[in-house]
Amino acid sequence: MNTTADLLTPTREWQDIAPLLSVRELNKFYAPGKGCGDISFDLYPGEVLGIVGESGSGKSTLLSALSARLTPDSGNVIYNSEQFGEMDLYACEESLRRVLMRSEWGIVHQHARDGLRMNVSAGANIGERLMAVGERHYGQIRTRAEEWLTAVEIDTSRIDDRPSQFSGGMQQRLQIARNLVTHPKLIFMDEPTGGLDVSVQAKLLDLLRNLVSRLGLSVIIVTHDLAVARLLAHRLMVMRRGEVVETGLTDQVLDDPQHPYTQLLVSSILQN
Amino acid sequence: MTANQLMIDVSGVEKTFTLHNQGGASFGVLDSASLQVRAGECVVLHGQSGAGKSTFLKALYANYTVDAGEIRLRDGEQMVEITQALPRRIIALRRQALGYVSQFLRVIPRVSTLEVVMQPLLDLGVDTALCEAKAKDLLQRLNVPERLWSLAPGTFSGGEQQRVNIARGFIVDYPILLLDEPTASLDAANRKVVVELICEAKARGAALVGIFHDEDVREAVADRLVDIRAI
Repeated sequence: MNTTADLLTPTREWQDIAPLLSVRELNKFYAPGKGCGDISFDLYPGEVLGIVGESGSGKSTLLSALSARLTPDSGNVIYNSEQFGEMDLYACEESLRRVLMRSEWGIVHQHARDGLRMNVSAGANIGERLMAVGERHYGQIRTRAEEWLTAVEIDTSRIDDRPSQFSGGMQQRLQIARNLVTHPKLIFMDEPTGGLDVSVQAKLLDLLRNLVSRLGLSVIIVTHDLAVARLLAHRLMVMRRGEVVETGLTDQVLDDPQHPYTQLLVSSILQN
Repeated sequence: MTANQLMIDVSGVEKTFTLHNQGGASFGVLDSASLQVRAGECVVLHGQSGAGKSTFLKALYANYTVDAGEIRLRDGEQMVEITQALPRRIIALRRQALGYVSQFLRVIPRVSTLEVVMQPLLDLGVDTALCEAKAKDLLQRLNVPERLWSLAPGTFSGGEQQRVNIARGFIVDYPILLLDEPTASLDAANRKVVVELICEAKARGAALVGIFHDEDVREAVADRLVDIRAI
């Protein structure tokens, strides 16, 4: 049998690669202790960053500020765009941010209804993103929509049904298809498995993990579920009261937590 | 890999656990631990339960942080100092150069056994058919019945899960392989298969560090026994 060494061309992709997203001293507070402060990190292509912490720790505020949906009080978010080169998100034109949102970025909301158009068909939900990046050929749009429905394990016979006729798990998978159809570089996810029952969660996690590794996506995922973080994230940021208290490799943070708050969080999980 | 090449170089590693939520209780586990392992060598850690064998092994995998010292692992031409490396460097290292077989299988529920075993090799971009062939070969050797391959391992017995885990750990020919009691709940026949897999890994030039409680396995694979308190 061949050894692995024979099958591989050595990969050194971690070297000399510019970050996709660089965040420096980002602050956004609604009130003292409510929001997030002094956030700095780099996200590299293909990396999955998990943001964990209890409710109200500032995770979702941070996600909104990172994804150009909430202007921070101070700090910079620099994104390395395929189309526009290096850009400072909050110093650039609103129109450029809009273009990013519908092409190079995807946003997966906790509630699928926030990310879908509920009164148009599943096919149209996927096709809309394609049309937004200039695709005009109806036949091709429909073919791509069918491909993506298949990729997220939705029967293509449902293409003309509205999302309101779908189960919660199917809606979430449709939302993912709608986001991925334009081959984004960076996906923001806010509790993507949050509202789903456990049997559906596992399937969605498996789907997400496969898509992320196959497409080489960079992902920033907010979750309060440490099991989800362990399965999907390469590294973690632990937040408490708007501040990052610990960062590191996912299994390192979860198996050998250093900060008192992370230790509390990890030791509070029910074991099965 | 060149014969006799230094693969693992640990010096002066210290590790203390502090339990902040239990009165700040603090335990020193490793105190200036040092170890060198060369290609083709299998080092077996021994020492009483609680002596820090597992902690040391987890530090080698960067699963645990250390308070002081250096851990340098070979990745091709380079030695990577993992106590200071960025997460993505460690992930790249684990993907191609550093394997770890734990006592427990930790996977996404509902993913089939065959896919669980193939995944690490698939992640390296190896052709699916080759991954599948190698996974089947390993599962067969480890006596995991073929009718289980399409099922998720979540409901398997402890010993079956452990054999799936071993197959997953050996699917990539890692230059460095860490083994944390991989034979703990296996019968004699399957222990023998694991011994064969370890010997094959040594023969292709891998450096191995392991913890084994079965004396027969230890005798069969160890080039050196190292007392954890003495390193």
